[in-house]
Amino acid sequence: MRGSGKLKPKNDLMTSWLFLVPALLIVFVAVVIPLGNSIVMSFQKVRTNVPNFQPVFVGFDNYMQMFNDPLFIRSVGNTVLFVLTSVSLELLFGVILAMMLSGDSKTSRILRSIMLIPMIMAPVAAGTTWRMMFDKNTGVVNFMLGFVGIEPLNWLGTPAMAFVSIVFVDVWRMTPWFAILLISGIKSISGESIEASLVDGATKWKCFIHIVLPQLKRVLVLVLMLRTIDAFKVFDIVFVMTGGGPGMATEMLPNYIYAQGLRYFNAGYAASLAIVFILAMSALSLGFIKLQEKQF
Amino acid sequence: MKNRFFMLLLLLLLVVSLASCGKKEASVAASPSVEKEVAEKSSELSVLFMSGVYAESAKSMSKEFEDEFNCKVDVSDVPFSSFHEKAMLDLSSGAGSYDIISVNASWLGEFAPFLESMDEFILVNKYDDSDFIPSVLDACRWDGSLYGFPLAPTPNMMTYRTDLIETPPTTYDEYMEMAKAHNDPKNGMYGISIPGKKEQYAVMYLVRSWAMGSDVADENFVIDVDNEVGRAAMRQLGETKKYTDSGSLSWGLEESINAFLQGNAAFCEAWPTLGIVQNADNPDKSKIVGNWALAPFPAEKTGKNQMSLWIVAISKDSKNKEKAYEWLKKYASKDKQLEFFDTYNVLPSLTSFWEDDAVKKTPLAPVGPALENAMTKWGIPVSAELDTIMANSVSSYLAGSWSLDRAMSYFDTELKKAIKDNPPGDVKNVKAIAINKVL
Repeated sequence: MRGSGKLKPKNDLMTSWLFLVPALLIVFVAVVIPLGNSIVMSFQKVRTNVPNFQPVFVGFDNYMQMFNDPLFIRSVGNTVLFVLTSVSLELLFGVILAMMLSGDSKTSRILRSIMLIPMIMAPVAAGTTWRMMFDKNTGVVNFMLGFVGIEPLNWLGTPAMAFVSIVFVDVWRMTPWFAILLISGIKSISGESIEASLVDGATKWKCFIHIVLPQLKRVLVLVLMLRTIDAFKVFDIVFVMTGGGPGMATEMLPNYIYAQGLRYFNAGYAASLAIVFILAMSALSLGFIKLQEKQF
Repeated sequence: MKNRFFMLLLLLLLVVSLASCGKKEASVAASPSVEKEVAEKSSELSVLFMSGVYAESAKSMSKEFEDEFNCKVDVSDVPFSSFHEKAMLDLSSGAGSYDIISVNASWLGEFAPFLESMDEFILVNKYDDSDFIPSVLDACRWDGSLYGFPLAPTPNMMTYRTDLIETPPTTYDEYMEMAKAHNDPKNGMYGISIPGKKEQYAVMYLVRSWAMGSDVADENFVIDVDNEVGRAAMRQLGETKKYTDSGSLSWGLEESINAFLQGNAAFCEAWPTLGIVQNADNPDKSKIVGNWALAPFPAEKTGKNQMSLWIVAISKDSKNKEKAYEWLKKYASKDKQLEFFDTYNVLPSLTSFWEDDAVKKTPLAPVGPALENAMTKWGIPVSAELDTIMANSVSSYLAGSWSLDRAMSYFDTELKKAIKDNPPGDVKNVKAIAINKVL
């Protein structure tokens, strides 16, 4: 049986590396080089709209500039508030929807399919549609509210309401995503333990708190992590619905990085903003991973 | 042995595939098919215009140009919201995708280094540019050089209801009195309709500030905003907001124009040629048929007004500059300008058109004289950033988020920072010079 194709451990390792080379090359070209370039650029003054502009090394100037940049500070504050409110609401409604629709009845199956519509809509299309629906005078939302005697609301015309509208649209879009993932989590829970607790006289609420929720924790932490990181990247709906206004009420960090890089062509500063953003997201992910490790 | 051979084979394949990527470029560059492709490309023109009627007008000329010059023309169009990024990315990366690009005049200083100066073409071809409105042609110059021909010069004017307003206001005080008199929110009627979403605030602020006697910077681009005139202009915008629909802070041009066309406002501050002129007399789209007119904004001290202008220019990277020049000449010719006006309502940039008696009898008559006293905004390379700073300042003040002091302080400080980081060079601020000349 000698020479029947079994590899020696050393050769085995080399072959594995050899198979990995193409993928590593792609990662190197598509991720490592641009990231490295961005890190270098973040320490330079670079204007990409000036012909033959020679990058100038400015040390940590770009990073220090952020502390004196009112629009950056405001957009960070807005983004954090947006993520906290929208993700919390999506989680709450996602859990409720998941509990309601996790059954196998025909109605549940139909409702689960309908629920996917907001999620599969392009954010730009969703934002544009909601912008029209939120119009104070001609929007369908105020028209409907009129039937129950509510005066027309100025959805996008005041700073507070514009922010609420952005959160609302995001919750509308992404709650189904939460729900779908949680439904699959719920379906993996053994029905026997739930039935046993109900037989023992537990109320449905107690059953949810003591049996379902603890077993959903792993899925919950994972979807919370993914959604939180994704929510920090909010861009399209703000771009089409409010353009960051009124005032600076809905200015978000990704929109600001985009403006610095692609409207002002201030590549050095935009790179430093992007690096800070990546570091913050990495720290957040690490926090979630630690939390998951701690719990399980 | 087998394994070693297999590994060597894999390694060889990898090296060959990587090497072939590099080789391909060299072999492609030398192949006759590519030479043919380059030759074909030089008989092609690629044109980039803003989406809408401007791009439509350019497309309508393609067939005729192709027949006349045996040169294929491909017109691409991009919406205004992403036009600046798209055009600048192409030019600054040297991609050379476009031979001809229409550039908004407010970006000219930023784009000029990537554009071909027209001075030599005009000199060599003895091109007669005398019919262009002087103020409009001047707006196509940067640092003394001409960078293209003017497209669709549009002065910023107010539109008013002739059934409600007998004579348009000549001062901002008068304007506010009239707006107040017709402001009746309970019945869905407002004094003024404004495009209150952020993108139009630079326009609305500057039209007031220039008329009242100050640009944001002096002739050497030293920023001076937080002064008596700057504050008066900002306060005036605050007054204007009192007579608008509270929802208008989320309105773009389309919504503000629509509110006026539906008869819900006595005045409208949106660019009239972006919907009012085209639709106001169409009973299917308007409730104010025959009851509207254009008027300049109150002249105040200087009478200086603002204009929107596109400059049709040739890219420095164009491989077919001679044909591109011919295209430009044809596009800017009187025949074509008249045709585009008739078909698409694109405003001509020629003195002879606006002095024509037939034009003077139309509702557009006030446009010609307004153009003579109009200036384009910014022009310097950092214009996009200045636009945002101005919009944030004005919008925060109008939304009630900031006091006048805070808005003016932010405005002044941030403009100074932006100019300090990216100085405009040796060029002079022609706006400040023109305003000072009148004062």
